[in-house]
Amino acid sequence: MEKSPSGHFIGRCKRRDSHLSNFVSKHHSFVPTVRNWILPDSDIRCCKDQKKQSMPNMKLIPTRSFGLLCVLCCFSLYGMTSYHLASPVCAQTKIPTMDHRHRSALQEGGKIYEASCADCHGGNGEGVEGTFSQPLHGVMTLDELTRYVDATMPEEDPESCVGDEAKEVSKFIFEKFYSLDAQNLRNPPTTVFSRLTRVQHVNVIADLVASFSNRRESIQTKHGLRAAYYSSRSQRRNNLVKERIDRQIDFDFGEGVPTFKTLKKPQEKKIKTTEKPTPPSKKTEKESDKQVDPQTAKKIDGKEFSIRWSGSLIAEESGEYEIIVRSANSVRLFLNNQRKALVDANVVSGDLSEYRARIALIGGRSFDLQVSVARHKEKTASVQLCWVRPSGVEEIIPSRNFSVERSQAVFVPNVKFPPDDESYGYPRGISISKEWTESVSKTAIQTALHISKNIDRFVKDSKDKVAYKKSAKEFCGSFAEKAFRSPLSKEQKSRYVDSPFSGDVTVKESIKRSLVLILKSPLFLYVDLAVETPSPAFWLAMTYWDSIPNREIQDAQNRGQLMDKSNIDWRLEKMLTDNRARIKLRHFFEHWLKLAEFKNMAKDTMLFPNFDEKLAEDLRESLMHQIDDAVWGEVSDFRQLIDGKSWFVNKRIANYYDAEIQADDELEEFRKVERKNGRGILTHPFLMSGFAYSKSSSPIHRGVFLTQNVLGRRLNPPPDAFPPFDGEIAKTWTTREKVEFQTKPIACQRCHCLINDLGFALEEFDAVGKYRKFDNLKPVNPTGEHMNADGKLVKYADAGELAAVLRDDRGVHENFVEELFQFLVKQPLAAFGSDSKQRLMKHFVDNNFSVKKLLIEIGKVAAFRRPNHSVESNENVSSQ
Amino acid sequence: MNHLQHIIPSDSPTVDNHPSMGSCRSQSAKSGSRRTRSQRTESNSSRREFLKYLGVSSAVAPFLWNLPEVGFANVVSGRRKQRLIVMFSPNGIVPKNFWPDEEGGDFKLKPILKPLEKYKDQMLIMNGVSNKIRGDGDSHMRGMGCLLTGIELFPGNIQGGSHTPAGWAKGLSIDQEIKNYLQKNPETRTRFGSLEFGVVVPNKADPWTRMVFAGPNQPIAPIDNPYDMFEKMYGKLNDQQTIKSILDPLKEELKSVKSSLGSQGRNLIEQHETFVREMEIEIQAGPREVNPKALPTIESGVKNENDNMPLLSRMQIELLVNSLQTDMTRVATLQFTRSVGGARLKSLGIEENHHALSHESDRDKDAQEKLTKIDTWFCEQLKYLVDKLATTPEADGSGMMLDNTTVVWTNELGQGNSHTLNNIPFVMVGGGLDFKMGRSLKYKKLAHNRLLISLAHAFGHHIESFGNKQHSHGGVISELS
Repeated sequence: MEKSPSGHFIGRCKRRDSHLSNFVSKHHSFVPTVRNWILPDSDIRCCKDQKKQSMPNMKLIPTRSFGLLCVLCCFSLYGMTSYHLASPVCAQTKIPTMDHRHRSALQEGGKIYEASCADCHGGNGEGVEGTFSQPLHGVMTLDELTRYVDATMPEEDPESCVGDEAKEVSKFIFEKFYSLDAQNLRNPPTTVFSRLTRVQHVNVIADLVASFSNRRESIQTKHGLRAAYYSSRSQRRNNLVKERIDRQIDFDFGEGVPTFKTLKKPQEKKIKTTEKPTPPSKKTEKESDKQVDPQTAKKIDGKEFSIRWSGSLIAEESGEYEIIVRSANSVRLFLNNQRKALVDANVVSGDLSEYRARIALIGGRSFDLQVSVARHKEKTASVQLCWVRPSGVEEIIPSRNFSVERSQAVFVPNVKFPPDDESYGYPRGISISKEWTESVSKTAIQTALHISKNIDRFVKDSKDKVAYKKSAKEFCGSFAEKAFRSPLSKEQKSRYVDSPFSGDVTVKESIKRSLVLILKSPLFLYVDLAVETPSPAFWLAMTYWDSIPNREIQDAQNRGQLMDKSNIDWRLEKMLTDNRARIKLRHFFEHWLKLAEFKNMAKDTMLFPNFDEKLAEDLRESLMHQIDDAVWGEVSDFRQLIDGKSWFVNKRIANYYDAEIQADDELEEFRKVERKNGRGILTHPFLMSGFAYSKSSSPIHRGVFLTQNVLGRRLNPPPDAFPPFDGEIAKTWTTREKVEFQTKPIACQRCHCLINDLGFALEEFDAVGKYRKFDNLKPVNPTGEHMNADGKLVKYADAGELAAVLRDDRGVHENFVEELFQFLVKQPLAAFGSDSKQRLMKHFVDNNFSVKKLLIEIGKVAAFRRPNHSVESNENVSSQ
Repeated sequence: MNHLQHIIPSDSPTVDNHPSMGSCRSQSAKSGSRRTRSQRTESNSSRREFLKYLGVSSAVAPFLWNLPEVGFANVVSGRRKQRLIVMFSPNGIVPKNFWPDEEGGDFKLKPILKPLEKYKDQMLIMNGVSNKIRGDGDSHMRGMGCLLTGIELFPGNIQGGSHTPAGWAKGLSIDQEIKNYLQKNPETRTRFGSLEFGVVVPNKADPWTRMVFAGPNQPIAPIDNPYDMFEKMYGKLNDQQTIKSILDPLKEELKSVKSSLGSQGRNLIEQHETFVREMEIEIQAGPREVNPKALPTIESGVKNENDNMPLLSRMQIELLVNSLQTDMTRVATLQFTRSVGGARLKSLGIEENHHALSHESDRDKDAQEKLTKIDTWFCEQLKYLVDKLATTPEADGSGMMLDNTTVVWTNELGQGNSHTLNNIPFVMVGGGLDFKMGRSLKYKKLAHNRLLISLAHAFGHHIESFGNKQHSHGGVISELS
């Protein structure tokens, strides 16, 4: 590893760069989830203050994506200490706030700095070429910095600055330019000029096209599909035997036919036709079963029968899905298109029994689905509906991805976009590439073709050619206004509407040209352009849905109703009930909890024989249920997330983790139950299994996760990679003992004294998150302590106590608020006013940590305090 | 040091040797022995083919997007250009009004074939050819599914009016066999290899509706909407024209938004401008074998429905000839409706549907007359196609297209009311196959597999059997050429 200050950094950056590009090329849809970077302190500053435009193309490489993968992340000092003597200080020191500032001490510190430090470090810590060229920016806490200065500075005579002097000068350095807050003050972050991200791009296109029809986005409804069973191949009403809700499509009737415990009269229920969606039946299965008269009940008596499932498929992520239907019988599947079958296997032929088709879907949307299976003379009957999600492996489509409500078709461009820049820890459109412009072109062409093929739906047909052309132009004008989020100027109208329609081309081709031009225009692609008047509706839709406003919210803005901020909370709350918002929030939690890194959570089959993919998938869903409950439930409370006493289990989880669940529950059904051991999501078996090895727990992964993602502390990357310690002498040791032994060196301890204790507290949970009292036949020691954000030493005896500590930790709250904001808004929080964080925090605290209310408040900040685009940027929006 | 080391936990088992890794794997293992059919979109597979034949991987695909995927120039070889078109019409024919009485070079055309009088010396009429494939499926199904494949249908669930239920054909069809042969050779390789045209084909995938097969259980659907076919042939070129038309206003817009931005935004827009300029250069530099002004013009706004059949037929034939002329393909099929097709040719004053009429007895004079009218109409479509080929010069000026193209007109049955698979009509027109034309040939129950083999041989593809081995016995029919 290179030692010289500058060469050191450059060398690292380059190496990581190629590393990542290899990785990205291998995993095309790879989305790095990042906040911490393999960069020196000075570069972290660039990331954070985002003012540094001199390196627009600099690639910042995440370590977070490595985090879990690292065998043993040994975090040590970088920057200054890597070439000065490292001092054995711990990162647990408090982070001072401005309230603690003593003006006189600062003045004193300034004088000392001027006299002893400025020669080498520059008047404002900017560095001096030839002596110490790196700016004095970093991640040490004040306490560490003080001890460090005390021990090592000035280099030529460390003894000359100790005690109070060291304290004063450190305070000065820390508050003037060293700390993140100081950097933010010196170079206040601003919003960055951005294009649509790829997620936003497909969403906006879909909604633009849909805005000319009356498609409505779905809200969360009952999961599953409506099933109708018929006693013949023809699905006529008089053949109807049974209607019910099926959770999944996975049936093997063998040589038999579907049988039902109880049967009911078909005429009791309204039968929906394929054309007109009807609301789901309000009766539950049990209720309707009671009314059955066995005398008149029908049943499937012959071998011939058919079943039709209908409802919607809810996609969680955007991309190309593979749909797999397996059946020994005749089967047809319609998805997002009621006219053309995606899988048309009406013909049973030979041993053909598996049908695959690909289709592009958008995350957060529901897509109309209808599947029919019919048995005629085939010997056996079976049907199974699976999929391969863009990032997943093959699985039977889970019931949570089905909705009983049908949907109208939505246009989905099938274009692969290059991954967005995630160097700031969340995807944003701050860079472009040739590949991107080509994806934009393809999307524009596909969209224009879709519209011109279905032109009757967009432009009123007319025999009168002049009138037809006129309405076609009107359509293009209105499309442009929606796409540009602003009325067209005269010049724009001429460019985007009039000229494409001039010349010797057909109306259809003119429409195509106009639409392609609109969809390739910077006014469409760059979100900050074209919004000349404040458009809170647009920013709200971007924040919650990654899309454009729907008619309702746009109308409210047009009528000026969004300006009455005392009366808009309910509107924002309504926006949050949209599936797109729910999915975006789920994505946030996946990002925050690093769940994307938990793929292939394979466990040792000898030690954990029944821990399989199915259980892991269920655990993930259990965690999501718990999050949904804490966020969207009646009492929305962040603290419930951290130390709530209940969790969600189905039969499979209950069996594995010894939870109590009613015996008659269906296997897949999740129930909220008391959790005997462990509290909150941080001890959830899914996280515990994810942050663990296949055989043993990993206090380091757990600790790093808690330090960075929950406490919001920044850690520098380890100087080197270490294999996990497993020497012969450690045969009888506990995991804790091994980790303590291996991280004993002073260089490790600076970070590990914080990481380890947090991780050790979770030692009560083994590699699959099961509660344990013994590790390697010795009692588990889950005690620990750390310095919290307010500089107070907190102690905990076990994971439960740690959860209780974290739930009330200011640093945890602040970190959550900031992470959530940046994920939703895709801009730094500080760019929305230096006091934005404090305001959001106050609101969060005042509202008992309601995540729902925080989301509303974030929406308001994003919509009304956006710099440069808001007339009211200074107004206090937290006027509750 | 090696950073990769730090990525793989040493005690983490690989997923592969993990026996409990889930039901999905065991399911796929269970179904592993069963066949899989992948239903890809047409454009996807043709694009992949295109890339494959260009010899480039999909990794560089984005950069090829600007190339018009049309008209690859073929290396001129010693062998002349040869083309095959198979035209299908359903429900058998009226034998007495179809088959010439005479055998040999001196024969008279009966009413149904009368429209082809002009091409009599370029015709080969083969009487006595039988589809001998038996097994599952009724005659209409086997008549269709085994017509070009020469092989049995799989057992399945589709029940016809008689016989046992059946599924798809067990093998590929002869047009696809020839296509594969031509595509293997760079000299005869074309962009599509084959194109499947349809006219008013019901939107149903079943053994009555598919005669072209890429392999066992792999039916290929004909494209019966001329606009879809146009899109397939010229879509990309058209799109490129559209992009070209918007480049100037786009550049203006980029320039105008730049002025109001800060340096970071301006940097981004300037980068964007560079990419637009690059795209412009690529479009200008792209190959241009086809002049966009020479695109076939097809009538706009024609609905794809029964009553427009005459018009749709002409539009498809225009496109078919165009695709051959531009050398996008050398093998094509043209399928009118389907076997059991129930077209109602109102333009001929016939209200009944074709299939229903075909069931009437030979003694029903009215029906015989109407069937003759319908068959004659199909023959007129053939004539329209042949006329086009006869009057369109080859792109390289070497004669007319008919000199190098053979059209085979066939049917799933010999006669509608008896559902016989004997005496299937096989009428050939044109000089694509080096057959001795201008003859009326008569055979006695000659297995049609041998005719299929002969088609391949005519392309220089010397296969010994095709489809059912037993019926292939005897191989190529030597007296054809």
